Amino acid sequence: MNEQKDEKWLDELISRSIDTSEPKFDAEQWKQKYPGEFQALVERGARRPRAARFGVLSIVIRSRIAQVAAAAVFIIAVGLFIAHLDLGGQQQGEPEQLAKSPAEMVTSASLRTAYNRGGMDALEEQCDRAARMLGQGLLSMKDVVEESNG
Amino acid sequence: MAQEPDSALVEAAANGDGDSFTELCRRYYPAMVAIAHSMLGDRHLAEDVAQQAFATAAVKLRQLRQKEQFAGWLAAICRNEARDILRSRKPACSIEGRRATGESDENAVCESVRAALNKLSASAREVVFLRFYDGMSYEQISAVLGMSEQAINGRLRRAKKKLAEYLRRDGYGEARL
Repeated sequence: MNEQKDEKWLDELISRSIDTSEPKFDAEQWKQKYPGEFQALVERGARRPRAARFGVLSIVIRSRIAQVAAAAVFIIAVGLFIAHLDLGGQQQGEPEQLAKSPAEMVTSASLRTAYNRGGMDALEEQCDRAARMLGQGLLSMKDVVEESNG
Repeated sequence: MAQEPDSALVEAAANGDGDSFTELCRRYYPAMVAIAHSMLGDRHLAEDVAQQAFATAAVKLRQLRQKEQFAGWLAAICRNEARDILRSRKPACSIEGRRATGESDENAVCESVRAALNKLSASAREVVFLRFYDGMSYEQISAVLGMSEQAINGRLRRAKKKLAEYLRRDGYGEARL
């Protein structure tokens, strides 16, 4: 009861003693008073898309851990690229990949390469494959050498 | 735009939408003026401080991580601005009245109320000003103070009880009005 009484007379006293009328915000006046601050806010939006485009890059630049991770990824990528190049180089030297016809398969260069790769077994195998492609039975080494020398 | 939640307006403002920012200013201007007024005791100065707080907020808005806590963040900026003013001012300050001139009895009563308000703690005085300023909902006060409406009611009740005690001690009360 006493508290309710307090509320009424006190509320009235406070309202009479302090200017508590609603203050109105004048946006235009504020913009004129703080042009730099408002401009900074609005211009930030114009710069935003560029920042978003380079968002990942900016994170990498700012974070030390991200820098190390990015460097590791770069090194691994370069390593894989070099390994891929080496593998390609090795594959290029294999005659059976390049020799398409039986004639090509029994040239002295192809036969030498086959011999270097796998010795007599590889040489025999290449000759057999050339013979199979020609539709003939198995050729002896003598036939092949005679054929090659004309 | 008036119905938009704070977080949406803050997000838009942070992306450079000036209208969203001025809507936020319009929404929280009474609260910021009330907070500064409770600290400085001067309505006109309080309005300047509130506007300065908006300027600071415009520059620092990107630093705000939790967009839904904009009101509390803004209130903290406003309090800092008011503290800077207090530091650069004479130590003694009192809450000024709404009437510069008037009958002497009326003035005496108002002076006593202001003196009683100055005796309250800063947080208690702040909640009284926020509650008595026009155009402010409990929801806004709750957002600004980061407290539930029940907690605000409790703090307000305790503050008013103390005020009543101070005023009765000075010889004022419901009987004299």
